[in-house]
Amino acid sequence: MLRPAAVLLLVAATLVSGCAHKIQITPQLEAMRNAQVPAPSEKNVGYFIPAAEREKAVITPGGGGDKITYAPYKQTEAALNTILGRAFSKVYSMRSTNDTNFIAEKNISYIFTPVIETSSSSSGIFTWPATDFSLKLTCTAVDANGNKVWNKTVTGEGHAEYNEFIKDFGLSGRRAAEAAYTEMLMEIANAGVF
Amino acid sequence: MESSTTIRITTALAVVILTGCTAMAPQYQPDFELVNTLKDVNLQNMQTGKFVSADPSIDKVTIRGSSLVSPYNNSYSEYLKNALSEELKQSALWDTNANIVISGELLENEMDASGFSIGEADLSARFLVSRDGTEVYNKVHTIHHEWASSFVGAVAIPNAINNYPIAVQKLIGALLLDIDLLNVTRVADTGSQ
Repeated sequence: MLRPAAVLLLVAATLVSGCAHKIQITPQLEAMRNAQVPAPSEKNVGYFIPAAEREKAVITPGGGGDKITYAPYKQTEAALNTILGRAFSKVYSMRSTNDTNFIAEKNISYIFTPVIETSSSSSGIFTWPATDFSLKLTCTAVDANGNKVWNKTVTGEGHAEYNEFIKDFGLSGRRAAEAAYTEMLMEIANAGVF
Repeated sequence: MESSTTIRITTALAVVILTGCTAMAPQYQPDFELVNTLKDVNLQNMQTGKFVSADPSIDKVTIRGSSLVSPYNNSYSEYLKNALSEELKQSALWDTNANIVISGELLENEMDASGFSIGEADLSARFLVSRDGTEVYNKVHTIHHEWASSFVGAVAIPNAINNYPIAVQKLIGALLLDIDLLNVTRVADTGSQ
């Protein structure tokens, strides 16, 4: 027979432990909007993020043995739309890469597909947010016929100290995403193949 | 003695579990289906003007005892303004020098996560659009949004927090797809032959 105090401790352990902390890694977009890049191409492009990927929550380590969780595709889609908008005339979100009617209707010349890999860690043992975050972004472009025309991988790193992330638990992730997408913008704008 | 210990532990647990804390509302994520639509309707560029809250209580959102604070100066009218601005920017319809200015007054900003199975949001705002300083649009839009909730606060509270931006998406969609707004912001057909 459990004593009342033991029951309470068990309830506390159940309620307090075992969860990953939700954070946001949506980057600030002003650096991408203000970056010096060549004049945009007159071509229209699309990008494709599979529905399952868009909603997928990733779990990586935080501090103090805790974990953090976030949706890297959903939370950085605005950055992808922004950088493609700096490099091309019109950018459309696509539900599939082989929707020939949509491709023809929107006059889409290239379709970009992103792949995101993340990792995180923390030097803190008493706080759960990650002090360090890494976002590896690969973009592959195919033409309207599905032929691969371009591919590039960049990695953004983000760091945030306690006095910074106490107001924004996902700050290291935001910084990593901003670095990765800003670098990807420069790669696309200067690729010379579009 | 045991009774005293139990009371102390109960009190400590109550403090840990029940103490209201403060969370920041998530950054707005644009609705890219709406963005796709707006890119093809040939609208004039716009900017956002002054947004205000109808009442101080508008900026005080509480979810099961926890405060949900706007990341924009604790103001939800500023949240709405920033969300609308971002939607226009993602749709390539933003210009800081545009003569079409959208202003707004947030009239209702209710989040209810008290239900064990459904969470609800009710948002309402009056939007005013001016062209060269002359009012061309004045309408109130109201939306209702629901999401899956839970008896467990550790599930219900994050779900509610994550659904606030979606409720704002719906309010902005109601505005930007309103035929009356489209009519006053559409690029004029010059009819050149």
